[in-house]
Amino acid sequence: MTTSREQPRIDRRDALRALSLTGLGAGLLAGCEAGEDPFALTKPAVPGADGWMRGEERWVSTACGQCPAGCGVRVRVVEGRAIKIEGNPDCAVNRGGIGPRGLSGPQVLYDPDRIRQPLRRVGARGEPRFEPISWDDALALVSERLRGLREKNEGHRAAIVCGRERGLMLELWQRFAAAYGTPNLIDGMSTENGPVADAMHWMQGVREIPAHDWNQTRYVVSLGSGILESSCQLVYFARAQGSMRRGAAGSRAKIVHAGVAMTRTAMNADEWIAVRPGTHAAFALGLAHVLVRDGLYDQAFVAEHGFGFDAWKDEQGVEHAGFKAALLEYTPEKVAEICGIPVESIARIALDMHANRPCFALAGSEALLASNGVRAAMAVHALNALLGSIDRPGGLLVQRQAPLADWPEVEPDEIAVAALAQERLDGAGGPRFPLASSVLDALPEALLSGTPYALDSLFLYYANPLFSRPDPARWRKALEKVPFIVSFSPFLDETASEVADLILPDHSYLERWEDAAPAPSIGFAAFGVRQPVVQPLYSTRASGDFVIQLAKAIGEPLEEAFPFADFKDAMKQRVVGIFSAKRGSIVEEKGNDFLKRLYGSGYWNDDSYPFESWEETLRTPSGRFEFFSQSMWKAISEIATASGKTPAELLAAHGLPGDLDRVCMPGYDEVSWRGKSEEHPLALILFKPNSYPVGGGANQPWLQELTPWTGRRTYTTEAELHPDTAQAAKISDGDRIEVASGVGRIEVVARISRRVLPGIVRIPQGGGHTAFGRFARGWGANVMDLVGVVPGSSLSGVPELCGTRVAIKKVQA
Amino acid sequence: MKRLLFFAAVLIVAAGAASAVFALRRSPPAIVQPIAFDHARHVQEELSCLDCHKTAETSPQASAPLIATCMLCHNEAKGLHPDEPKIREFAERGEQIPWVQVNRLAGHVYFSHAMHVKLGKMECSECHGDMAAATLPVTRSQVDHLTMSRCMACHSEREASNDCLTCHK
Repeated sequence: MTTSREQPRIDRRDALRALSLTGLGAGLLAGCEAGEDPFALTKPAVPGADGWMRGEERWVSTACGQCPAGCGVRVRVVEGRAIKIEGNPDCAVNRGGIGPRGLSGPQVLYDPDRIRQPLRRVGARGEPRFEPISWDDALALVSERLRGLREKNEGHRAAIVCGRERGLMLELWQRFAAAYGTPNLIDGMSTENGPVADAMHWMQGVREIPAHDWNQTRYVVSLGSGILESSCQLVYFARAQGSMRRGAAGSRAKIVHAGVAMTRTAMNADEWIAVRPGTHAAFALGLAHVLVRDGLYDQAFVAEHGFGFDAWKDEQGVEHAGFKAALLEYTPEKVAEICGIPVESIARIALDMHANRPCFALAGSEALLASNGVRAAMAVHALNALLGSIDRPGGLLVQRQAPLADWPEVEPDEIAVAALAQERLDGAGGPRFPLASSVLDALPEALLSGTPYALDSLFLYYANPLFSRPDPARWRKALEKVPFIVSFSPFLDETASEVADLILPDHSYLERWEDAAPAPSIGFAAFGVRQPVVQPLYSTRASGDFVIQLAKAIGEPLEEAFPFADFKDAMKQRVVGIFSAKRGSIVEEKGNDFLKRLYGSGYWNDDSYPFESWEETLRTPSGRFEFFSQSMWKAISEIATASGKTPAELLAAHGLPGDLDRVCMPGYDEVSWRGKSEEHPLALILFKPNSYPVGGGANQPWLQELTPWTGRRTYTTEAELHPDTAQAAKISDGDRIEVASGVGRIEVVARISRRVLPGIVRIPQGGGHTAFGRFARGWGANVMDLVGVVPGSSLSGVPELCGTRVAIKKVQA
Repeated sequence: MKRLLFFAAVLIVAAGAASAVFALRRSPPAIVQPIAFDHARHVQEELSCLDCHKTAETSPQASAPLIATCMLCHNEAKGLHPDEPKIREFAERGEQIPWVQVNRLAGHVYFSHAMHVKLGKMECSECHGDMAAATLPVTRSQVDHLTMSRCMACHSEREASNDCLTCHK
C-alpha cells in the first residue's frame, strides 16, 4: 500500500512512455510534410519557359481558331504559358469581344488528352491501340504510298476531306490535289453553309455566304436562322444586334424570327412567327408575292440589275417563264396554310419590310438543311433582291477579299491531268449531284459500293465523320473499306481512334502559323494572322508544314508546285499582296515594317466597302441578279446531255416534279421527309448549341457547362418537346425517352416546353462522344445516329439534318 | 498523485510541442535563396531597379532577370562574395537561377506593378523599403507590411480609388 507521503516512482520506462507520447502527438499534428513551403506553386514545365524572365508576361495578338468566325484575340502569356485569352479591339469582327469558345482556348492547348506524337495503328481497327512513330518515318510512309499510287496512274484513288470552308489551308490542300492529281477534295462548305453559298453562286455568281450590313439596316427577317445560338459568328451577331437596337428614338431596328421554336434568336427578336418545319421558303415567297402584288418591290433594281424576273427568251428563241409569274401561286392564303400561320401576318410583315428599308432576310440551318434547302435559300435571296437590298447599305454584302498575292500557278503533269479527269467519288458535278461542288455525305455509299472506283488512301483534315456526320454506323462500315486512312486530328477523336491507320497530330491553334480569313460578316476585306503564342508543347506538327514536306518528299512535279520553306513562308508569299496594295489599316514602305505591324496587331483590314460595285458582286452570265439562274439551267442541261438524258428525265430521276425552268427559280418544295409518318410521326429538328456546335468543343469543360438551354442540366442530351407531344406519348419532364428513326435510336432526357411547336423533337448536336478525351466521352447521345447519311433527292447534295421523321417513347426504368 | 502530475505535465509539454510544430507548419519556412543576393552592392554599381526588374513599368509583375543578364557582368569573377561563382556554375549548366518568390498575393487580389510605377509614379522604395541598404536577400518578414490596410491607406492618401473592384476583380 502506498501512503500519501510516499514518492511515486517515475522510472525510465515512464519517462520513455511520456517522450513517445510527446513525439506521437507532435508528429500526428504536424504530419510528415514539415519543412515544405505550403505556399509554393508548382508550375508545370513547358518548352521555352527558360527564355522568359521570372514574372515576365507578354500579350500576343493572334486569331482565334475555335470556329471560322475569325475573331482577333490577345493572349496573355506568362513565363511561356498561355494564361488568358481576350478579344482584340483592333479586329473589326469582334471589336474586343470574345465568345465562350474563344475564352476556352487554353483548355484546347492544355487538354491532357492531346495526342503528343505521331501514332501508327498496331491493333485491329476499332481498338485504340497505337505505337509512336517518328515524323520522318511517318512522312516516308505517306509519301511512298502516294508516290506508288501516282506511278500506277491511280492518283484519283486518294481523297482529301478538308473541314475548312475557306482560307489558305484549304487552298494548300487544293493545290496539293491539283499537283498530285486527284479530283477528290471535299471541302467544309458542303457540310453546313452550302445552300446559302449555292444560292449566291447561282443568282449572283459568287460561291460564298453573304455578309449583312447590320449597322445600317432597319428591319431583319430571320428565317430559322440561329444567329444568337448556332452561328459561329456569335460575337459579331451579338454585337451587331446590340448596335442596331441602340439607335436614336424612333430608329430602333426590328427583328422578326420565323421558325419552329422559341430559340435564343426568337427570344431576342421583336416577334416570333411559329412556322411549320421546312416551310420557311413558302413564308419568304409569300412576302415576295405581297411586295410584287402591291408594287412595293424595288422596280428600279429589278429593271436595271435583275434578270429573269419577267419571261425571257434564250439565244434559240425559246421562251422561259419569269420569277414574277412563279410568284403568283404563293398567295398569303396559301402560304398561311402551308406554314400554319395567320394570313394577316404575311401582308403585315411584307408591308413592314417595305416601310422600314433598308432591310434584309436571312435563312439558317432549320430552313436550309433539308431536301428543299437550296431553293429555300434562293427564295430568301430573291426576297432580298426585291427589297433592293443587294450590295446596298443595310442589306446583303459580298465579303470582300484581302488583296493577297497569288501563289505560282500549278501545272499538273500528264499523270495528274489524267487523274483529275476521273469522276469524283462523291458524284458532285455529275448526274448524281449535278449542282454540287462537293458532297461529303455521299462518300459512304461510294466507298461501300466501290463505284466508280475503290479508294486507297483517305486524308482527314479537321474531319471526324464517325461523330459529326449523319449515320456514324454507316460511315464506320464505309471507312473500313479504305485501306489507308490518315487523320491530322490533335485529339483522339472517334475517327482517329477507330479507323485511322496513321495519326499526324496538328499543333493546336495557339502553337501554329496560319491565316484566319474571317467567315463573311463585316463585308469589307480583312485578314487575320494566327501565330504561335507559346512553343509547341509536344512533338506535334502544323499540318500545313506537313503538306509542304509531303509534296517535297513525293518529288517532282509536286516539289516544284510547293516552293515554300514552310507554311509561314507560304503565307508570307500571299501577304506580300496586302503590303503591295498599300491600303487599309497597315501601310508601310518597308516589308519588314509591314510584317512587324501585322504580326503585332494580328489583323489587317480595309474598312471601306464599295457599295453597288456590280461588276464585283454580280458575276453571273448576264452580269445581273438572276431570279432565273442561267448558269444552273446550263449546268443541268449539259450534265443531262452528257449522261444521255433530257433535263426533265434527269430531274425526274431526282424525284423533282416539273420542268427545268421551275427548278432554276426560287420556289417552295415540300420537304421529302425520311420515314413514314405512320411509324415516325414527329419531325426531328437538330440544332447547334453555341458552346460545342458539332462536337468540336465537347472536350472543353467550360463549354460543356454552357447548356443549350439556360439553366438546364449539364453533361446530358435533352430533347425539347411541346407538352401536347409529350402528353400523347405519356412523357413527363425529365423522363428518359427513346427517340427512334428509320436509321437508329438514341436515349435522351425529355424537356417539356411550350417554346417549340407540337409535333417536333428538337435535339442539340454535340453529345454522345465515344472518344475525344476524358471530358467529351461517355455522356449524352449523338443525334446524328438518327439521321440518314445519303443526301436524298436534292440536286445539290445538301445534308438533310432537318428532314427526318422520328417516334418517341418513354424508357421504362 | 505526483505520478499523475507528472503525466499531466508531460501532456501539457506534448500539446505545447505539437502546437509549436503545427504553428511552424502553418507559417512557411524561412526562404533560402540559391544565391545570397546583395542589393546594396548592385545599387553601388549604379544599377537601377528597372535594370534587373525590367517589366515593373510594363507588366503586373516585376520580373526577375534571366541569367544572361547577370552574366553580362558576372561572366568573370567580380568581388569576393562567396556565392558569386554559383552564377557562372548555373550558366555553365544552362540553368536559370531558381530564385524563390518571397511574396505571393492571394488569388482574389489583382495588383499591377505597371499601374503603380508608370501611372502612379511611385518609387519602388515606397513599398519595398530601402533596398539600397539591403545586403542580404529579402525575407518574408520584410514583406509582411504589404497588407490590405496599407494598400487602402495609401490609396486614400493619394486619392486613388478604394472601390472593391479596384483590386478584387
